[in-house]
Amino acid sequence: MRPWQVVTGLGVAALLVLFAFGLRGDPRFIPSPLVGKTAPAFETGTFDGKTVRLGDLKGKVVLVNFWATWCQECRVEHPMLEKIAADYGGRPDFAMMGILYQDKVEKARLYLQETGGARYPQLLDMQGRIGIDYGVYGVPETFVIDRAGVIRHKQAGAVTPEFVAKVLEPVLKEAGKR
Amino acid sequence: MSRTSLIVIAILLGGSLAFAATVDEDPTEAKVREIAKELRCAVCQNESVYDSRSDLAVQMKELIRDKLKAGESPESIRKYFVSRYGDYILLEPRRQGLNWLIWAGPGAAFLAGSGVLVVYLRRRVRRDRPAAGAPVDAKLKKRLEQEMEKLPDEDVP
Amino acid sequence: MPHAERETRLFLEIGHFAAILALAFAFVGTASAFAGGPRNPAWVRAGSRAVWAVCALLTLSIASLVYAFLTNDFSVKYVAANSNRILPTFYKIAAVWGGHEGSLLFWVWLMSVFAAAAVARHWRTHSVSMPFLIGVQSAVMTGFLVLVLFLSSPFERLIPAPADGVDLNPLLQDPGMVLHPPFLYLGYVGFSVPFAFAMAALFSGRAGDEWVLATRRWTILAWFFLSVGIFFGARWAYYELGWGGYWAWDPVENASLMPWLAGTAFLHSTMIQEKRNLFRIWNVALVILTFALSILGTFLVRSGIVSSVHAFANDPGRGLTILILLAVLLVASFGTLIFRAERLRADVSLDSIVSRESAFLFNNVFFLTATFTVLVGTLYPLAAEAIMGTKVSVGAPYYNKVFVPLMLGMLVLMGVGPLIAWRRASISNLKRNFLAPALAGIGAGAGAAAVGMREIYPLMAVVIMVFVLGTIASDAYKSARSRARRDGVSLAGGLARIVRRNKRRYGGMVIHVGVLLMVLGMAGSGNYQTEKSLVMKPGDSFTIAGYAISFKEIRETRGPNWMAIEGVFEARNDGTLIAELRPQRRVYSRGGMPMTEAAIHSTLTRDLYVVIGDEVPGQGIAVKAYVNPLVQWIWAGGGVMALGTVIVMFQRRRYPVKEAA
Repeated sequence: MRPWQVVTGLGVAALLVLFAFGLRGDPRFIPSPLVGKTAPAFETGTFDGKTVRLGDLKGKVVLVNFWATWCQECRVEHPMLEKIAADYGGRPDFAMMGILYQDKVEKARLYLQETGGARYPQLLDMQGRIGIDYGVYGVPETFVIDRAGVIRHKQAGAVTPEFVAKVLEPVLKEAGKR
Repeated sequence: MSRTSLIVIAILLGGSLAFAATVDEDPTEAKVREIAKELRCAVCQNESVYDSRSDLAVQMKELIRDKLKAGESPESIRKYFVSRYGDYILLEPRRQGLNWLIWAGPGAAFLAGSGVLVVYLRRRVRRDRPAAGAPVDAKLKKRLEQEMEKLPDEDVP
Repeated sequence: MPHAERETRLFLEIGHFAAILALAFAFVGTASAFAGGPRNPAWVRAGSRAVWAVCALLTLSIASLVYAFLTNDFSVKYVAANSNRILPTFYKIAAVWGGHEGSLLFWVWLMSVFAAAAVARHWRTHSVSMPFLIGVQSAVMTGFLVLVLFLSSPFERLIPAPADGVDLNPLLQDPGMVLHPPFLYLGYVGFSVPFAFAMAALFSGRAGDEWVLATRRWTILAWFFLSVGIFFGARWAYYELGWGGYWAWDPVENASLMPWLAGTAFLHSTMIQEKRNLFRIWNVALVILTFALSILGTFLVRSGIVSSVHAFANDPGRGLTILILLAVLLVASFGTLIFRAERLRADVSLDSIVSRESAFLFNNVFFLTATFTVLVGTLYPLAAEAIMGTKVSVGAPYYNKVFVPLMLGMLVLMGVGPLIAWRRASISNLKRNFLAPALAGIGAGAGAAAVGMREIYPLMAVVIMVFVLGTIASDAYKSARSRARRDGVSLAGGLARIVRRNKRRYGGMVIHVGVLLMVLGMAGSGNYQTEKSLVMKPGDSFTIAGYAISFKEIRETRGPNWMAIEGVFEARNDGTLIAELRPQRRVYSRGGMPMTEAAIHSTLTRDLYVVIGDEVPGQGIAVKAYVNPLVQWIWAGGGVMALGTVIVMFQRRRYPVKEAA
């Protein structure tokens, strides 16, 4: 074997391995640099004009869901979010909220009427600043913030029962122990 | 955008004719451009924040503008975006770690290619130097070369 | 169901069936050609008939799809997704290649036309290569047809049929975009002929010389199509995307640039083999690389491996099939190269390092470095994720930085290469050919610096461009003069004669002049663009680079399937009205993102480029204005390159294959 033969062979092999890897990966998933960091603070109004401050929720596990009416997957995950609200909404150490992402409030109100409303507060993000602060690149995205105010997980795409079991539950449990 | 909203824009814009003026670019705009051209619009296919018209990109540009006006340096604004979106948002990979592969890669490839080529050529040339036993009349050689030079540089078959 | 409608639907079923038959025939072509080999003419003949059959059947398939579009048969899923009743007829036809499924079928169809043409042209002259030519082309078509029929079928039905279709992607509804993909595909599939010949050379082991001669025109033709395709893509981006530029280093663009770069390297190095019968293995490798990159690009874009976050709906099965096909192609072609190359080894001997042979090889080093750069830049995000688990982006700012020095180097070589002597260049040869142009270049650079040009790259570009132009001009002048003297004609007559006598050399020179013009345009627009983004109301005005531009009014306008708001701007220079600019923002009736239509006023020195964007509530409308210097030279350069390529294509085969020196 001459050197060029070896190099050519290895090059082709490397290329194919790389492609195989590329197929396996989920191109939508971008690891968030925010996981493990303190959640960016925000203060904003709800649809009904109340003010919500993230800082006021210290000591609680907070679930923040970014969504929009133009997003198909949000429609898919809506029942799951409702279920989470129903199952955990009563706990004093848990809070969840939706943040409307690049959308109009009127549309969102209609949407919520259609889908049977939401049991958790819906917040506004008028200039998209909260979304940018959280590094949101598409909806739905869901963040889990622990009692210390640290982002523990970012879910890109719809929340699932696995998300509840593998992400939310453990954070809630550990919060309870502390 | 529906037809009605088009009309509304037209009326709105037309109605404000009375306040016509000479306008110029906001002085921070050049800096906004400089920063936004190097950030990737996260929701687009390979477009910069500056070039994209998506809502997210528009909001990001507003944010950059506000931050500049608040006195933040371009470097700290870049850092802010990286802290939120990761290195993914930089259209130009930072010169660090594994990224050196692509920064040094082209230069290295060129040098390696040239090196291999030069070594190859030298070897080929040396091997075929006329053997010492076949001396060429220096005069004849010179004459030949001169004649060759006179020929137009043409690919005469 | 009305009678006519039933007929329509029947025709598409026939087209679908024809495509299935085509797959069968492509397989038969592959099998019979390889099984037969050069020693069984009957098998090869069967293979050639199979190639013809594939071509005829796929023509029928494409016709049926065109017909489905023209008759608004929305029971066809692909038609329903890419057309609608009010889509102009022109775009209905373009929609055939406007979506993923149809464009793949279109691709194979073009390939089948090329395959049939190649078989027809070389049937009598290249009997040794023929079985491999048929076999390789049929094999590639088989792979693509599997993909088309089983994973991306444009013949799929939608039941019940919707009353109307969605739309052709509005971005594609532009004349430039209609031409761009077919030319690109013609380029990609065009390289399949030289590729098949190269494989034939490897398999048969003895066609080391004839294949280069046989494929020269095919290569130039493919290169021409690919260049035209890329050119239309750049123009489309410039006129349609509204960001004032023409090349964004998008993965899709890179996918077309890589085979172009490798193909350009091959076009040059092939001349050494023709003239000196050297470097056969190298040429075979370059052709394989070029075609592999054509396929690789197509696949990369379609498999969803390299894409942005929001490119959903990538069927994993499709991605895997694409990968398998690509793996088969790469392993088969490069594997053959690795294990059979020794047979082609020629006894290489060179007379001097300073010779045209080495200039061509250095050209190859540059072009392959460029290819490598694009490939690595495109794939690096994938590699970074595989190795470090992080996502990075490699975008325009990176490529711009890395590519400029490479391009300058290529330009220098473009001046040196064509004038340096074959075999061995003497000092006097070098001095005679290069001293004056080099001095002219340095003088021009000094002049540019004297009038205030300070940036290093533009200065270098000036020096190099003048140098290269000087070499081309002085060479043409000297040759024309000596010819004119010998034949007793005028200088112009002499020029015409040398061009006619050696179309390839002087066609090539014309291409080089085109490249120079293009570089002039790129250097000007890349380094001296002025831009402003503003929010304006009608009545407002602003100045940019000395032009006073006033916003007169905003109004509504409509086309066959869109409506738009249109801004009316007047541009003045020193008080004289020079242009009325009407940028639009179009909303297509089927919805989707609004499209910008830039308004451009062009002169030789600059383009005045205005686009309007969204309204800013209460303040007016967003306006972006650019002054792009010298952009028209890019398009002019493209035209000159095309002219040169046509001249080259008229070159007859006049070089007998020489014995190795």
